[in-house]
Amino acid sequence: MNQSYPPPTSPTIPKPILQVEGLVIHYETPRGAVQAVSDVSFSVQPRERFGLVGESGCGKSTLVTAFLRMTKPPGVIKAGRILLNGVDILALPKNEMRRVRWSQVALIPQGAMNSLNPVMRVRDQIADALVAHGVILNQAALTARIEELLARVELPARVARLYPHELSGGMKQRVCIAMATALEPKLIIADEPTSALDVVTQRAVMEMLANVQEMVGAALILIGHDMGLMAQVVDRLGVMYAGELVEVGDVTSMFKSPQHPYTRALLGSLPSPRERKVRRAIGGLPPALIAPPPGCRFHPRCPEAIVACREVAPRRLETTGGWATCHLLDPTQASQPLEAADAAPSA
Amino acid sequence: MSLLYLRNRLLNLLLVIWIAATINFITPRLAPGDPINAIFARLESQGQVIANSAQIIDLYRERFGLDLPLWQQYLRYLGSVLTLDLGYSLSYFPATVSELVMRALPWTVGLLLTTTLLSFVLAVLLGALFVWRGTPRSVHLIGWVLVGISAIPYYLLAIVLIFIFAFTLNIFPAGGVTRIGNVASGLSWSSVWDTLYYSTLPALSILLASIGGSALGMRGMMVTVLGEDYLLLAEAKGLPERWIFLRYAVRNAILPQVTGLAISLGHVVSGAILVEVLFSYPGMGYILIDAIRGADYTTVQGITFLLVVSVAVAVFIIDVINPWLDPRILYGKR
Repeated sequence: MNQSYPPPTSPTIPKPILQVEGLVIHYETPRGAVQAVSDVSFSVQPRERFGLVGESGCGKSTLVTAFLRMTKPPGVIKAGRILLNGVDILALPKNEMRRVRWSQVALIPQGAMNSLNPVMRVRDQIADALVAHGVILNQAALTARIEELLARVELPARVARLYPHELSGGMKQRVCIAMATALEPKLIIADEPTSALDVVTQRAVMEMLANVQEMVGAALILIGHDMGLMAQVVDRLGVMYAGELVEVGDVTSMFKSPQHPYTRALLGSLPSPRERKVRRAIGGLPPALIAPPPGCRFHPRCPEAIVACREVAPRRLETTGGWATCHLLDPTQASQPLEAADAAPSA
Repeated sequence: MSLLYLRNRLLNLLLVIWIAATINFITPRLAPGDPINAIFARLESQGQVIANSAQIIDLYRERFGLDLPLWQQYLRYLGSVLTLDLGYSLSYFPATVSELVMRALPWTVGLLLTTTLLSFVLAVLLGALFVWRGTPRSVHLIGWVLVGISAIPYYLLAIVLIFIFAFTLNIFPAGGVTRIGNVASGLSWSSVWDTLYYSTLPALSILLASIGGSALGMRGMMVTVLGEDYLLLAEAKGLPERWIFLRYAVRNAILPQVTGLAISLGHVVSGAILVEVLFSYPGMGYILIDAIRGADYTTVQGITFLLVVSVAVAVFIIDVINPWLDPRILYGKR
């Protein structure tokens, strides 16, 4: 390799590679707008590994699809800015956006099983990204580059000549990882990259992903709902609930002392070998986002809800190593428990 | 490509042809009576008196080999099938079925090959454009009109076309393949032009009737393919839209259409019967109808047999091409 990468932990404090400000995404349906992403703001630093967790349907995938500006109708980005390397990608002309994709932000898709074109050889699928972005146009250089990329994920060069159906699930996922790093992007988004794999393969693929990300020097956004996996991989964690980011913080302090009741509930539901039973599950179901509950969206399921949660949307409050949106952290909120308030008039 | 795969496909092809030939041999012999007796009976019922009819019948039976035991007849039949000798036409006696077919085949193949291929290309294009963002409204409009028209049977469409373009507007001829007297003029620009001119209406009626349906099929496949994860990834890779459209979407959606195309190409030799009749187009469909009307069994059998062979060959070709189009179809592996 003729490039040399700076060590993974560079001491300078750079500007964020990704900065999301007040992002709002709706799915417009005949019955009304589904508020899939509501006022989400966060940023990711260069080389950082940022985890995004939440239940199915909480808007994680909708959110990251917007980072590639691939939100499709009926999905509409209603408000907000997405700054990629300081450039607002929502304002870019179509053709420039096409060039930003993959060269600056790459995707490792959710269904690696079906993410490769079944009628194209692996080689051609990696090559077309290189050719489309005008990086390499000569056949010999292309072959060398593809072999190098495959070697990064410990795949032999002969894989390039194979078709996707001739690969195992883990191999396909590794091809996807190799593909994602083809143009040395500054940001890699991995949407549940290991969800379809068995535990052993999951671990291998995750390690591969982390290594390659460090080698390329990209930031990583890892989406998932496996808190255990997140704890092992990411530096910072964002917790999403019902289209909102409810807590962001560095992963150690969040695991040590989660500030938002939803984060606590998520961590509390992790199984442990010492107690061989399903631990505290979160009661109820996430709300329909077509008419989310007023106030804090989590209050109907929150065991610690107070009166204010029903009426006022909580502010963003600083915590150690991040922030959370919860009235319980707000010293200005009178903390009358919800059950007591409901019980009072009838008693 | 493995030779084993090719050999298996080839054996399969020969097996299908052999079975078809055998059925073709057995079926008429299951019917009671004897073709020569039948002809004489028909002639006599028309009031003709034939002297020595018994002798003549025996003579003909011997000549056609009908006096031999069945297994010998069968072997002779297989032998003649192998040499593409389809026997004499019963209606046009001194002429053989092969002669009739050779006269009609070029017309039919010329008409149907062109329309089938054209219809395939247009339908695939239209079906793909139906679901592609950025397709102009006019294409959608034309497409849906064609889908509507495809609900009309092609023979009805042919009648409407004849009425409008031949009788009312008088732009195109109502039937035939060339101007009278232009038949023997050989290959020249004017004869080629003439043929094109005369086959416009039949071709149009087949095209109009077939495009819409196949375009809908292609559209359905496109919708399925556009929902696939690999299309999402192709877009995320920042590929130009045209690449995604052709190499990812159309390339995958076209696979079932190609199989359909092969089978319709196999049917080309049987002709578009009703269109040929309506336009008095001297193709295979026309002589087939003629043969059925005239109880010309040998001709009917000959055409049926050719149809089976051509469909079998088309399927063989698609079997050979398919693993190349879709690598998931394996060569020779079980």
